[in-house]
Amino acid sequence: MNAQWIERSLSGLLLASWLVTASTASAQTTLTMWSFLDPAKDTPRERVLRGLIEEYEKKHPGVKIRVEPQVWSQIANKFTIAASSGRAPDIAWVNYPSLVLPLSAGIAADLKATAFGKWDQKEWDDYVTTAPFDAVTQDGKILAAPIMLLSNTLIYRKDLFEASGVTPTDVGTWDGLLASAKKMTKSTGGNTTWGLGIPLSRDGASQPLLAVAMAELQPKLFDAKCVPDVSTEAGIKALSMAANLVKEGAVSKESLVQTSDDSQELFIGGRQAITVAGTSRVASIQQKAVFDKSQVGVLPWPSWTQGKTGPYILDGWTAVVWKGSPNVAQAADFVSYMVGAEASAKWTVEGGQVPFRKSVLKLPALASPELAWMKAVAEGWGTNATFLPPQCNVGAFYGDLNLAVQKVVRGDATAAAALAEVVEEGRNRAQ
Amino acid sequence: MRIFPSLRGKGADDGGEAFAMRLVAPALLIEFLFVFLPLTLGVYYSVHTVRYFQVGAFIGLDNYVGVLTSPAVRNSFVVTAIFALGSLILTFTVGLALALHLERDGRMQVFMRAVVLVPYIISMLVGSLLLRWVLSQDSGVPQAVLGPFGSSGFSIFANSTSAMGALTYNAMWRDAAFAMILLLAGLKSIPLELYAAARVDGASAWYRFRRLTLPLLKTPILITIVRLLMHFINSLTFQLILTGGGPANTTETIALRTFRLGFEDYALGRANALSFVMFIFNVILISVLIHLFKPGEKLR
Repeated sequence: MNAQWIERSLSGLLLASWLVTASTASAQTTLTMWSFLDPAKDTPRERVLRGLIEEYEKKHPGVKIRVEPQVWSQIANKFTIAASSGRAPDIAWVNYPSLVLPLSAGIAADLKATAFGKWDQKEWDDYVTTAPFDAVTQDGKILAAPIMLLSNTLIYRKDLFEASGVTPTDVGTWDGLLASAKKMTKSTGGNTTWGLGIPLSRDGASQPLLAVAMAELQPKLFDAKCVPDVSTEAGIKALSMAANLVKEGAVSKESLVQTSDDSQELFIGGRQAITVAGTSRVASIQQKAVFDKSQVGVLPWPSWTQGKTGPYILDGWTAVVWKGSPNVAQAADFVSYMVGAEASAKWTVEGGQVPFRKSVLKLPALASPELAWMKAVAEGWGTNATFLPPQCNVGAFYGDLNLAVQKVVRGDATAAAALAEVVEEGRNRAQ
Repeated sequence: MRIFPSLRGKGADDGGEAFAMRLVAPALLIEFLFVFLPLTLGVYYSVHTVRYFQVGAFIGLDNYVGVLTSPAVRNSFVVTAIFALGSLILTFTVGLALALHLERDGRMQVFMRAVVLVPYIISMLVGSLLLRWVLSQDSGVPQAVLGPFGSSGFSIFANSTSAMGALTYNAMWRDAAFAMILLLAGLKSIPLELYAAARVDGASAWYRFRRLTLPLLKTPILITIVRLLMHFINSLTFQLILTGGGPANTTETIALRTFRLGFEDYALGRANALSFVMFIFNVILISVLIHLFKPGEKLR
């Protein structure tokens, strides 16, 4: 009798514990996310991500967000390959030039059919531009959501401008940029401080100055089949201008093989008066500069016309939800939270990112004169921004443009011939 | 007393064959997984359209025709030949000189052997990054060296000839120690009595080197040459880190072109076709190596 009672009690306990475990397991959803940020680390953006995850998990007790940090340049490749083998994460951070991979593979879930479909018009109207969503909308489906936006721009040293009698207005046009950069290029004691630094290496090319100069003259740089449409008068004019910057000594010849990182390191080391860098890099450049960081300023792109500014080519990080995920709706909900107004304020105020929501632009934290450039850039994005089509291989196109500049500078090809090669390379790639 | 059963002359029933198969099986499995399978997949992809990691239609040899008729690929063949031969000559010469100089086992020679191995021990990537900064126009080193000759504004990496020179130097800087090790092993195997006899016969140092050392080093020299040549033809790190293939693709080798086709253009079909062409070339080189080791055809 006793033994039977013990046996029954044990069986009951086992059953109860199994039921409890099973119910807990079913209530717990774990979303896996690949990002270049690691919430376990402590940079401003990583702290923001950690905070957002903690808050979301608090609001949704049944949901856990597990971040698997990745090398930024490999996320899109790995995500696309993992999806084809059915083992992709629920969410992946993909930058705009790499969106071609998940979009071509058709592995991105439609966010509009889930959380983003619930957004009211007020939410959409809060964006300074809807271009980041328009660029990733195909057949009415939103296939990615912008987390943080950036664009390349000119970063300059106020003290070197003053020393050479150059004002920001002087670099308002491409001709003005050339003249001013030449004026600020100086050699002392065997060391040269260059007026301008532009990365012209084929590798890791990001938004070349040439693309900006072309985009102002000719807004569409690709045709419908993703073949570059740059063998044009506008293209030749812009390429000749970019090559002249090197030929006329405003930019070092070494820049032909310099990457963005190389060029920015030289600016940080005090060897350039102006450099081309992403808006996301401004804070770190200020922090690392060997000179007085208050002397670092941000300028808009020059234009072909006095009094105007060149267009910003938008770029940045998006969140893509895997179509094959068993948790598409939940993943989209988290993405919606991660890009929402509340989160955007944190990305800007705590993470140092340029805002692209009107509500964030109005925050008192952005009223300080040091952050005036952020407002100016954000307003520029609202009025004078463009996206290169994410379904095309934009990264390789940037590399081809830099290669064209190299060839013209070295005299290997005329501007027209170099651009014809860019078109041919693009055509081969698009086939 | 035998520890392992003899595998020769025994029937299958005594387990000799099975035992041998069990010993070889792990190696065969590894070979299958990491050589045969990727190679087969590579060939499969090379005859299909593979864009953005999506396998498309079978297209026969179109990818091969595409890469072999591409001006950029043809350029990369020429660049590879210049780089591989230039690096081989420089690396082999320096390696042989080091081996001869450090052959004796004196304290200084042993210490110097360790010193010259340093570039070979550190990672290729770190070594190339280091040279990239040392040779950059803004580091001041080229300025200090070339300034007195009136070339203060000269950029090593912006000029195609000097960029190739830098690349070749990078290869030599790293791999001369490897050549030295192979050649030193050969030198150590030459009986010292031969040199003593030559000295007694009044042979000069040059004569001893030409008539004794070189002929007796023939096999190590050939092994070193084939190993270095294969390494330089297939290497990617030097070009990717030091010059990025620039300026204007003048240092873009086949390996770098393949990398770009695969991971910048996302044209994996074409990248695999070019890889397979490289593989065939490597097989030819390996055949040369195997031929050298054929019994009865020893060169020494």
